[in-house]
Order: sequence, then C-alpha cells, then structure tokens
Amino acid sequence: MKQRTWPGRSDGSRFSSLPLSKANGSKQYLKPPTGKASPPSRQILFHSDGHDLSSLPYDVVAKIAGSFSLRNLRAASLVCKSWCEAFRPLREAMLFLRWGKRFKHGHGGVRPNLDKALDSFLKGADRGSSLAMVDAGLIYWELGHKDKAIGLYHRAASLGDPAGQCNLAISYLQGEPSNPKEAVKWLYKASLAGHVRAQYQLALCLHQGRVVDCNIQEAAKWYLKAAESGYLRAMYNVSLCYSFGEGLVHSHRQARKWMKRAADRGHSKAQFEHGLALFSEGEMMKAVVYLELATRAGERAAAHVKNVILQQLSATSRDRVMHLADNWRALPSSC
Amino acid sequence: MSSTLCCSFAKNVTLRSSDGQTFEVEEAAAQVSQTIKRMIEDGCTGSVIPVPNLTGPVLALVIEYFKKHSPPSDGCPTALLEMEIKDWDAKFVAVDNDTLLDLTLAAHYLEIQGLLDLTCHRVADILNDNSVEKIREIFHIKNDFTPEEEAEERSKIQWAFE
Repeated sequence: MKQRTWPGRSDGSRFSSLPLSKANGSKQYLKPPTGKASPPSRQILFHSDGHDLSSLPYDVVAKIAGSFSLRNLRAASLVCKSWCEAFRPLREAMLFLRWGKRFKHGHGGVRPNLDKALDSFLKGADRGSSLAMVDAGLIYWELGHKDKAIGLYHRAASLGDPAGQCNLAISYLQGEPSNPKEAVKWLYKASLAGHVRAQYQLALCLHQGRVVDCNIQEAAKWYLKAAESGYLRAMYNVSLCYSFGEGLVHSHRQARKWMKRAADRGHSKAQFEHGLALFSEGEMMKAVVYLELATRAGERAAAHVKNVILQQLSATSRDRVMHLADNWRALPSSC
Repeated sequence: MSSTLCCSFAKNVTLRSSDGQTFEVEEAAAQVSQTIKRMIEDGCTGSVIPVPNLTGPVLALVIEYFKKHSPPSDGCPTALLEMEIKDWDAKFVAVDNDTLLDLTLAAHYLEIQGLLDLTCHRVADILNDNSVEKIREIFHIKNDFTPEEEAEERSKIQWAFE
C-alpha cells in the first residue's frame, strides 16, 4: 500500500523557495514575453441588459477560464465580441498545448522532441492555460528542473487546476525539506474538486500518518472516493480496509467485491489475492486464471499456487486456462 | 474624513461603502483583505476606511466572509473545521449571477485571494458544459455578433480546435 502516484522518483536536486508568490502569481502569467498575445489590461467581460455593466479585469477572466477545457473555451468564445476577444490568448494557448502534446508523444506526423514540446507548453502557459502549465511542469520535472516545475504547478494550482494542485502537493511531499502542511492543503483542494489521484494521495498521507496525523477513517473515505472513480490502487486499498475493518466496517463481501474489481482492471496483487480467494472457495478454474494473470504480471508467489492447481487439472482444462489468460484484457480504469 | 486618531491596539475598524453605509468589524478579520491590511498598516486604524468600489449590500456580504475566514485565535485550523468552512463557502457563493459578479469584483479590488478563488471557480462552474446560447441566457448577454461575424468566428474557432 505504499505505492506512489506520479512522480514516483525523488532523486536529485533540492528545491529552493517558490519562484512565484501567490499574490503575484495570478498576475505574472498575464504578461506573455511576446507582445503579440499581450491582452489589454482591462476588459469588459460581462455586460448585461438592464443591469449595470459589470467589467471584470483581465486577470480575473484568465483565472476563470484558465483551466477550461477546449469545449468550454469554444462555447465561451462565441458568446459575444468582448468575450471572443478576452479568450483569444487562451485559444492560442490551446493550439500550443496541442502542438506540445504532438511533440511530446510524436503524434500527428511529428517526431517526439522534448525541447519543442516544452517550448510549446511554455507558450501555452504564457497565454494563461493551466493545462499547459501542468504539462510544462511535468517536462521540467522529468528534466530535473524541479524548482521550475514547482513554479508552474503553483501557477496552475492558483488558477484552481486540480492536476496542478495535486502535482504541487506531491512536489511538496518529495521536496527537501518537505512541506507536508502545504502539501496536504493542496491535496484537500484537489480532492474536493474530484481529482482522483489527489484523493488517493491524500488517503495515503492520512493512512501512513507520516506527514499528518494518522486518521484511518478519513483515509478510508478518500480511498473509497478514488476507488469509486475508477482509481485502481485505491480499489485494492479499499478492499484491504474492508477486509481488516480498518477505517471501514469489516465486510467480507465488500472486500471481495473491490478485490475483484481491482483484479479485473489489472492490479497484479489483487489478481493474486482474488485468485487465492477463489481457490479457497473451490473455484479452481477461475482461481487459476487469476493466478496465471498475477504470475504473468510478476507476482512470483502466485506461480507456486498456480502450479499446484494446474497439476490437478486435465490437459484440456489447462489449455482452456491458458486460452482465457491469453485473451484477457484489463477493464478500463482511471489509472 | 478627518483622521485624527491613530491607535495601534484598536481592535475594530470601520468600513464605509460607496453609498455611505458604515460597518464595524474586527481588525483581524478585515485583514483577510490584503488591501485593507495595507491601509491599516499605513496607519488608518481608528478612522473610517472608505471602500468606494463596493455598495453596502456587497460590503455586508464581504464582511460575512471576513468573519468566517478570520484566522482562528487558537492556532491551526483542523481538517474538520476546514471541511465546515468549505461547506460554508459553497453556500456563500450560491447566489444570483449579479451578486456573484459583484463579489468577484469585490474580491479582486480588496485582494481577498480565497474569495477570488471561490467566485472564479463558481463562475467557471456555471460556464462549464453550457452551450453558447445558454451562457448568454444565464448572464443576460446580448449577442453583438452579426450573423456573418458569428459564422466567421465560429469557423475560425472550429479550425483552431480541429
């Protein structure tokens, strides 16, 4: 239960203090380095019939729309002329974001090129897109520039982007020295916004009790939330919580249900555990399929039990087990 | 307004809205606003602090927010308290759109980061997953595109997203 979500590595450089304070962070992204995308300093966004003209300053507009998806941005851009104008930098950001993804993954006929990907993401970030900030942060993190990554995560987090909040929190947990108080604060924000990885990470913190006081009830609550949203490792942990009555009322039935869910989505330890459960229930054929899957996924202990069962099966049954395992496909999960 | 008194240990400050309503509020609570905090630090305590960008009703709401979010006297807020505040916040911004926009502007003007986060998030939520027509309806926005302009923008934007 000690697996980590991304980023799993904590090698290397200490990070210095945050380059952006919260107060000026929301303004800094308003000044793109190139003059082209520079927005007017004040812009009327809301103007309503019969009601006083309500004008929102540009940095507020950017804050509202910073973490918009493509679809939301498209709709908001067509509302009226001033909105269309106000969201222009963000529409440009979306183009840069898409090019960044192409360069990162080598989609759309371009070769993977991390430098170009980073450059595109940074241009998107300069235009106020929190999605681009997170992507740029990920690349900086990969390249070992953790302070730059944290700066970008912080900007995205301040715009209310749950992925930015989650990554910022994880950076704080892994920092030297770590900053658990800030980490948990951002994990709470992201978790309440429904970010499943943050929910799982928050549950881990509350469960392990290393950075905050251990609170197994609260931990189980967040494991369950993440599991219900399809987070694989959370499903496995929920099963253990039910199984041992830790933070959740002991329930063999619930424990078995969540273990099967995790197993069917490809969690190797869950496949092993579920295989053993089926074995103890006398469901040899099913048990051996799960044990075979666990073995293939690297659970060595599963191989031993599996071989014992296989020896008791006929050649036809053995072939059938292998056929089922060969054609097994994991159900989709959110991770 | 005459500022004759400057008393560094005053506990309350008075805020005056654009329409002349005055509100007395604990100094510590009012300092949730960075703008007011600076004014107090500059030695305005004891006199009336004008808040000319906010009307009385909006200022009254903002003061409610101050009270809920003033730093607790007994150190660190607990997770439970944070959850309670979170619930309170959600109810606080469940207001009509005009009030919501007023609060957004107030938070921006008074530099109340928490309230700005809250209102922006709420506006974004309202905009989320709504059609162009629906957004216009919700915020009473007149479509000032001519049909030709709208078609042109639509195709431009479409292209940008394809």
